[in-house]
Amino acid sequence: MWLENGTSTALRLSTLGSTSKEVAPNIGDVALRAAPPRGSVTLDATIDHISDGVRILEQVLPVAPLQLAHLHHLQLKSRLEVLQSWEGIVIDIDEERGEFKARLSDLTNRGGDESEAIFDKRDVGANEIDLLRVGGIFQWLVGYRKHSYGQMERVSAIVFRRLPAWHAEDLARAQSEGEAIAAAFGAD
Amino acid sequence: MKAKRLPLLSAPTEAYQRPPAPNEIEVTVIGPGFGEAVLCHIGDNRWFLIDSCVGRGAGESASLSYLADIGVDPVNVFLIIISHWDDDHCRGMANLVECCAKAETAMSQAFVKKDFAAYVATYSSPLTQQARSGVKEIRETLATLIKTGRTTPKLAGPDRRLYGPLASGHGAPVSIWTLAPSDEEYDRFLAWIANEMPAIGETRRVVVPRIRNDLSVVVQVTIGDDAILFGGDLEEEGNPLTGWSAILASAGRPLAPATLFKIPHHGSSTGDHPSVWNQMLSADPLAILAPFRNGKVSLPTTNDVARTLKYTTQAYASTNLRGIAPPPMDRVVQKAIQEVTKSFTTIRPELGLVRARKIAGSNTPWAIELFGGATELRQVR
Repeated sequence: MWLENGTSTALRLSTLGSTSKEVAPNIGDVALRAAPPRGSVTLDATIDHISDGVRILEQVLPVAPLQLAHLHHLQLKSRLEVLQSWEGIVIDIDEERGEFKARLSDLTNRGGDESEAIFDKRDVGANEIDLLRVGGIFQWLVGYRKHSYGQMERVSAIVFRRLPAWHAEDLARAQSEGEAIAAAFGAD
Repeated sequence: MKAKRLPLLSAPTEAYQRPPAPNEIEVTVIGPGFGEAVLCHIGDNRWFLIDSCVGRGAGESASLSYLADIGVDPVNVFLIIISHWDDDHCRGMANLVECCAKAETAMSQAFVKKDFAAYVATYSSPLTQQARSGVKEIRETLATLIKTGRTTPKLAGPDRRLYGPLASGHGAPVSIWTLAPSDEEYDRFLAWIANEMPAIGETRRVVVPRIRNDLSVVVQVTIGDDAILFGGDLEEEGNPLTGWSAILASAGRPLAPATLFKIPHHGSSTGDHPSVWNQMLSADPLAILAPFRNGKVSLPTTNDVARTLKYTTQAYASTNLRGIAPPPMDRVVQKAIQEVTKSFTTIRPELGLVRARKIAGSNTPWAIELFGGATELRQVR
């Protein structure tokens, strides 16, 4: 699966790869911004290299800093080759430790495996931190981000799904279903 | 065309596939490491089931797979008890209820209250295909019961005899009782539900798990002189109105000491009350539990095992908690997991089951068989 990053900051899904269709509905309209370029130095995977939910784990094909700055100014395209993705549900948040726990379903190898992981809150982008709450849904993507000018990075991206709100009609419908079920079972 | 059901065990043996004789009682606890299901044969090819977990086929009830493996038609299931709505106790329940078309159901009355049904409907919205939660399964189960006209479930509660005494071919009368949830637990649960209903305009989220298993049903069965106690997930908090304290204080429950105990809540200390062992069970009873492993939570703990083995020398677990290896992953992905997460655990359970059988009305001890990952409790970790 490839995710493309164009001149705007929003990610677009391409249809390349067999898993793209399965993953696409969960990405929705989430914005995933490009991380600032880091030049030609190989980076360690530290928290410092996180920007808006994308952590650059390693510069695989580096570009010289000056050249990179120029290219970045042009806002050229990049795309993300996803090696592995999970859907996560936040099940606990530890504010004191600055971390959150999530249950993960494997979207790449759909064998029914579930995992549980603890993440640093700083892995969540500043524009999505309000979506980090118990019951929140996100995707965790691991792969290579390839820029059109040749730079390639190994990255991890946490992308929260912006869920719609419950509307009055939704809740009225649920109440109505509740009453119908209770009536069917002769309860109140 | 419907896919063929997978056997519960990857390599079923002839001994495993032997069904019980008409005069044999059987209790089987299936536990794949996340979830549990219990089957009880009361004689004459009549079965009742408690809870549901999934087997090797996605979404398939493990209990149905087991019955198929030993050649029992689901039509012989006369009762399905839903002990509570936690995900690990009700996966595959809708499938189970649908296939056991002749079975009645028993559950807490809270499940059919309009407030709970509205809560279930609210949180069942299709947020994602992957997100599983007990509410989806309960909603499908209730829909199946309505669709099949089974709308008068037996209501589980304290000191309530659901069946019996039933006559049987082996001559030992059978009675099935529920001992919990207490009225206090029931009221608490409904109050919690009311509090969990979202406000208009609130952002949707996946259902938040209930911390306490307020609604857990406890079942006691008597077959002649034999009694069996199924502890569900009932927990203890030292309140005389709730948990095991409420059951122990009750004057209306059957008093026969049980020779077989399905240990509650995966053997955790929160489900333990020493007086249960002294007052409700026979000396050195057979005890069976289904371990639970999900992320950092792994039950029973070493302390839980030690505590249980002080109560009884005959304790077994439906699967072990050792050597649950993560699935093979791309090297680059593994590296990323190490770099990004503070901990990462994959739930790759080894499915197993403990089976106990004895001739009804005999004074013989239970015969134990272990299949798949099942083990003696002392070797569970």
